[in-house]
Amino acid sequence: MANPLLRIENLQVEIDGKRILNGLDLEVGLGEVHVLMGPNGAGKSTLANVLMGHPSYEVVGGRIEFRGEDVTEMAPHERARLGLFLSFQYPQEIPGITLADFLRTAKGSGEGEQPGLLEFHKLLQEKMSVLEMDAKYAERYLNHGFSGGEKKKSEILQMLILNPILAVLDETDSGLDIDAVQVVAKGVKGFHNPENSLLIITHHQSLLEHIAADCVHFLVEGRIVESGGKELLAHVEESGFAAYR
Amino acid sequence: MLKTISAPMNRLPRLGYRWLKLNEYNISEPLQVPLKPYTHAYLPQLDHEVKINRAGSSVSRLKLLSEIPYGASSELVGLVEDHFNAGIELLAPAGVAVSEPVVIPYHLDGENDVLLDLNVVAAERGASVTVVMEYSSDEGSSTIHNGVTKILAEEGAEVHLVKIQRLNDQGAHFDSLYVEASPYSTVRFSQVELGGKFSITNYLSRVADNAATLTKSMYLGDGERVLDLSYHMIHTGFRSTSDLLVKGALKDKSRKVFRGTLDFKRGARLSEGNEEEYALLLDPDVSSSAIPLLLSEEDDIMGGHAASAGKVDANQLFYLMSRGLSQEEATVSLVKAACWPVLAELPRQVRSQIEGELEARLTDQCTT
Repeated sequence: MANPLLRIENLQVEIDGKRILNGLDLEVGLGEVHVLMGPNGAGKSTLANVLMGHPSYEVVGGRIEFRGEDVTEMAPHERARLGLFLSFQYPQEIPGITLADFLRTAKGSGEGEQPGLLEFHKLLQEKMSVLEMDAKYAERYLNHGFSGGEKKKSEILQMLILNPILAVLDETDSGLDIDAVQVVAKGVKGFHNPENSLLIITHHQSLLEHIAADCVHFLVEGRIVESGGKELLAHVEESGFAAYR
Repeated sequence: MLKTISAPMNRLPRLGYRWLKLNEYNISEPLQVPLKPYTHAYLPQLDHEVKINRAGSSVSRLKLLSEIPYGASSELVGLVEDHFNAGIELLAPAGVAVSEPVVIPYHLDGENDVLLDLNVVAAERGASVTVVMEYSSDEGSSTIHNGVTKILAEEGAEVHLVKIQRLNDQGAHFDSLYVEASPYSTVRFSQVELGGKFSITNYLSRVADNAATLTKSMYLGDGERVLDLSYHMIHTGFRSTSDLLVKGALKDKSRKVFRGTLDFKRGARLSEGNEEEYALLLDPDVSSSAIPLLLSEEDDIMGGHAASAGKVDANQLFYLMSRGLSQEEATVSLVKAACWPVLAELPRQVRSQIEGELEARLTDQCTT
């Protein structure tokens, strides 16, 4: 790929001295949807967190390039402002900050100017209705007391409001019932366009029934062991990852 | 004429190990207080039935008996009672309920640099009133505030006292509060401590049968500020309630001592008291001490206390930063979130002002 949106080269990552990623290479082009699958403990969530710059993970080798910039040592907020977004597998609960206030602050931080109150609330209501979220959630504390499904919807809502260029969805479909998957899928599908990309980390294919993947990767023991098209989804459904261990 | 402040303050009702040096607060060097008038206007015009007068005016019919010693020290209380230069006497007549807060703005500057305010707030049977007292000062002026506020809530009355202290970093702040909560009354106290070189506050509440005192306090320590915050809830009555929540953050080289005493006297059967204090430590050189005390002469009571201190949660910080907030912005958000239970209690018109000041102090943009 000539100028990929995201280029990861030989990424090696440790946490508390334990190696998790062992020379991972991955490229994601603009407008593409990539799917990352792998067994538990393979390093999928580590990759998601490292892409976003979690300080607990130490990059001991390799580099991450996003939009042509080396972001390997960049602070999380700088990556976010560059257009990177992570939908967390386990979103944090923060009592004391309402979802609406937080999102308005976050949008203002990213765009350098706080959006007008009315304009922002209109946008918020529009996106919440796409995700079939009760408007009352906007005034509730950030993810506090939300069900598992509502937390995931909250993550996708944040993605829709912040409108990133690359969204990494870390098991956004896990813990969702069939109806919720459809709603979340509708939100993600509505978000995706040729000007942005998705990296979907998942164990299931439920979300992928709604969103067409361009590329599928298997991550096993800290490195990509197989990359291909949608046909790999059928393969993993039948045989799992045993052949790659 | 000068008066000297030097005596120990906020002495614990039961002393602990002396070597811990936490039984009381000792001022580093005696403070000279010039006795002089305070000339700023602070008495609001009220268009409702609540009556307000200057402290010491003859119309006062408020008799508040302080049967027990109270305040940060008898020296501080005596100085105000003998030499007050400002203050209010506020009376909410029986059955009168006013939702609009009565705001008393005390402001210190180069000319009015000493404030000794004696305030009495009384709510008669079934009355309801909210009083906001603000303490602020000009940048650069070295000021002294020593105040006494007494609250009497008669049977079934509701009083909400809000104290907001945002003096500049050179200001000395001493505040002593005494509360009498009569049967079936409720006294809410919301405290915001944001400024001052040192801030020594003392709150004592006597809670009668079926009465409640609900206290929420927030603070920010920055620079070399010293905060010594004392609360003493004396349950004198049957089925009385006290609830104390103190939240704050310390940065730079600030120091804070929290003293919270739940004191159940004989006759306070079936009463319940709870106290909780949480300090966010933003820098390695801060100091945070908490002394929760539980005293009881009754066996059928419930008393709960929790005190903790910790750094900002790294995962919460990362979460906020992943949405584009800088570390500073994310920290401000988390401090505001921690203080939200207190901020939510404040009248809307002062809340945003406090949030702005908190943000400015946390990001070192403060000009006061």
